Amino acid sequence: MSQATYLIVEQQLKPPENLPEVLKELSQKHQLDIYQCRQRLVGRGLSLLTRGETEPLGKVSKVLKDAGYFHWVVSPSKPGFVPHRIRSLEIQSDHIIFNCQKKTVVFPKNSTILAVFAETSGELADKSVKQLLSSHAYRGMDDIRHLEDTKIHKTILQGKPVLDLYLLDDKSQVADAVRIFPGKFDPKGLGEQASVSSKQNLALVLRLAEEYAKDFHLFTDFGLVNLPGCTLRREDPDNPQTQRQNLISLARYGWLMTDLLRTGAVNPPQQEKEKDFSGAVTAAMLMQNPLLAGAGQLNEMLPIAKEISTEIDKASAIEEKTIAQSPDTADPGLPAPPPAQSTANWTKPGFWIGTGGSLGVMAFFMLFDFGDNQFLNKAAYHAFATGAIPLTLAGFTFCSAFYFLRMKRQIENTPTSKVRSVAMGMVEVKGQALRKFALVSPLSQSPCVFYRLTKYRREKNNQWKVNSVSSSANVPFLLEDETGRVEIDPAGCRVSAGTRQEGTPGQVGLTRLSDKSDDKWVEETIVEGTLLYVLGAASVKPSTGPILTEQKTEALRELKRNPQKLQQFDQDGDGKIGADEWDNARAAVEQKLIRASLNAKSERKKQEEHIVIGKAKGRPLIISETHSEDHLTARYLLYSIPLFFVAAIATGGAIYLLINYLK
Amino acid sequence: MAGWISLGIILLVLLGIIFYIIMIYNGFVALKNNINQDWSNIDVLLKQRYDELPKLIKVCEGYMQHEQKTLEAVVKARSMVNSARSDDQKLQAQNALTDTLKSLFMVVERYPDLKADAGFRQLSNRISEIEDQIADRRELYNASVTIYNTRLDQFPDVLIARAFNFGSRALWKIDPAHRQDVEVSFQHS
Repeated sequence: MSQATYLIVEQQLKPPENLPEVLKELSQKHQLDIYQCRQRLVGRGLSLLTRGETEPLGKVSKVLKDAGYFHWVVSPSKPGFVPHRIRSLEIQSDHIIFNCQKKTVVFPKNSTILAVFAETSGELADKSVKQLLSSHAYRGMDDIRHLEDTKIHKTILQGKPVLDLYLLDDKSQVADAVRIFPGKFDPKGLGEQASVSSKQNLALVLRLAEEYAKDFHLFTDFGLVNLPGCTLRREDPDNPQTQRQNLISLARYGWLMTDLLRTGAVNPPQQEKEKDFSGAVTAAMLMQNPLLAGAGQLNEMLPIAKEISTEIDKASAIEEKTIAQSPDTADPGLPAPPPAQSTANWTKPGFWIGTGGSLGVMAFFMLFDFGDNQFLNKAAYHAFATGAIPLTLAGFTFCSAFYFLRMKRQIENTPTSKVRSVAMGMVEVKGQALRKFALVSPLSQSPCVFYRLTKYRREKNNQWKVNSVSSSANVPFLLEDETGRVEIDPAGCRVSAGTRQEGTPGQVGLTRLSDKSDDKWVEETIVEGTLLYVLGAASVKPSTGPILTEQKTEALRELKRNPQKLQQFDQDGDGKIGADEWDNARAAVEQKLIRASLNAKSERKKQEEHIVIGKAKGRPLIISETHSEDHLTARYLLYSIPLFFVAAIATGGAIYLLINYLK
Repeated sequence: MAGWISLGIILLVLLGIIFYIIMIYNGFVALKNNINQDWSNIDVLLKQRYDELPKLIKVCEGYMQHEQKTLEAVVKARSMVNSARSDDQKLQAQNALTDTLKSLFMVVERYPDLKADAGFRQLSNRISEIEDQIADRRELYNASVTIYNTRLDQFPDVLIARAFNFGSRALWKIDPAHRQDVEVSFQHS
């Protein structure tokens, strides 16, 4: 049985225009999954497109070449050995000696070195996902930004970095390899350049390797790419095997990179020219993509190999310029939202407090042992025996049931207004929710108009208890129907959000879920674009500009500073402004401001600029993500029925207890 | 115990019925007031349109020397609105004003200079906006009346409505003349 061959492709951030045709061809002629192919062709970095026999892969390769994709058809070699862990190093003028546990590895000067600078805890992967999600949230699908190279390097250094150096022979075969962990080798060999920071020493070794190499190839995207056998597992403190497996994956990744380097990329015809200038430098030679070679951070963090960096920067500049000129990037976007509101406790509606409170008091008196405290014992006995507590419970549940019935009727009795003709007072509007601020939900990183994040903590009895609640109730949003937009202020409203997600602390996006965590997050969101039902009080927004007296003071101050303007009021021409003349000047300024204010008022403002729907005192505010009004009213009816039932039983119990007590 | 619970339920049902009657009654009162408010909200817009008209006529007068009849009709309809007392009279006067305004805007087509005037454009846009809003609020008024009238006929609301003499309300109806098809004729020169 012949060994499987991989077809590895370098993804493109902006796919070619003919991608749909390419996908169609890959699907119809080569039986590849169209969705999987799209996923693997669009993005950044390397990705395994497919694997199989060499011959059919050659046909797929032709399609990719015509479509403008760099790719490799490679039969991966089995890793001959895992890089040796170094204990110390010596730097000589013509070579570097790495002293490992079992052997000594010498990297001569002017050799070919392939370096893999990797982060093995998963922090880099998390950050990358977070960047993608927030980029998607703020800029949309068409302008997704990946982590910059500088950030990648910084994140690697901040996390759990590992540096693998592969010494390659003339045929790009692995001659030897070393693995360097920060703090696990003696930095004395670095001489005066050695620092107290183990991670800085690691960066220094990387810099030295680059200085000593004739051809240096740096790879930093371990854990970010989809390559076979190179998966990075999240570090699990309970499972020490994960770190070991990750290091094995890292070795596979390093060996695969040497295979790719040896095989060489299949270049699309129109990009042959780019190959010329990128071929001589670092990873660009392999990847045909200067940005992937980490030029920016090499220049910034490792001040070496100027000619390499210059070449890379030249190439990078072309791409960066293109990004800078992109019209999408000029879009200023939405303003940042005000900070989220945090509350120590969960604010529940009154009926829950009443019902829960009554039940709690009842249970307290029934179950709690007051010992010798006669007063409390008597109070508990009489409160329960007279039926006072069940009656209180009945009262609360009865009122709550009627509250829901009243809300149901209120919704049914209010006709739906069109946004452009909303009148002041209680109104009902329906439409699509739009963001006024660049609000993004904290857990799922989705663009939303409202979110509520509830943090729970596991108690000793394995029950979850609400620890804190934060929400975007202070962030207004817009509601749009076919006639216009209006601002909605959710402050003071119990918003009924339709999207609910759970997660654990430290989770980025939806990537990590752990059942073992003692903390849990529940995120409820109203995603942008959702159809909403809003019932609330419409009012005119309060004016935010300076008041007339402030404007007048400022205008008079301005007048005093300008002698030429002031001269207009010097009626007697004595060069001075008398008391009467100053009064005239003040009156003129006031008139001018009043006129300007009236003119401004007469200008027609957009509905969202001067009307807001929010909570008024004693009036309900309902914001609900619901398919129809009937669905919402049915929900209220459903709430009220069990409450009536509880109220009935509690009343019966209270009467029974009272009669027994009176006997 | 079961007997006491039954008694409790009966008492609670009775209490519930009383509360429900109160709720229905209050609902009718709120609906009636909503209808009145919706009607008044239309008046607010009609007043805005009424206030904008003198400015429009003033702008038009400069250009439309030969259309005195049209302008006078608008002025006359506006004064009719002012003098109308009953709801029916007001409705007729507002409809007449809407008609004359339509005639005015049709005639304006013959005056390209007037159409190009920034002041006229601003005023006509404003009046068009108000007209749209009036139409919306009339729809809202009709929706409120429909909800109210439906409640009047529904069980158990009908019992309360009859007991307390809540009468039905009339929907806003357009002038029958506006239901006729518009005749469009193209004159060949």
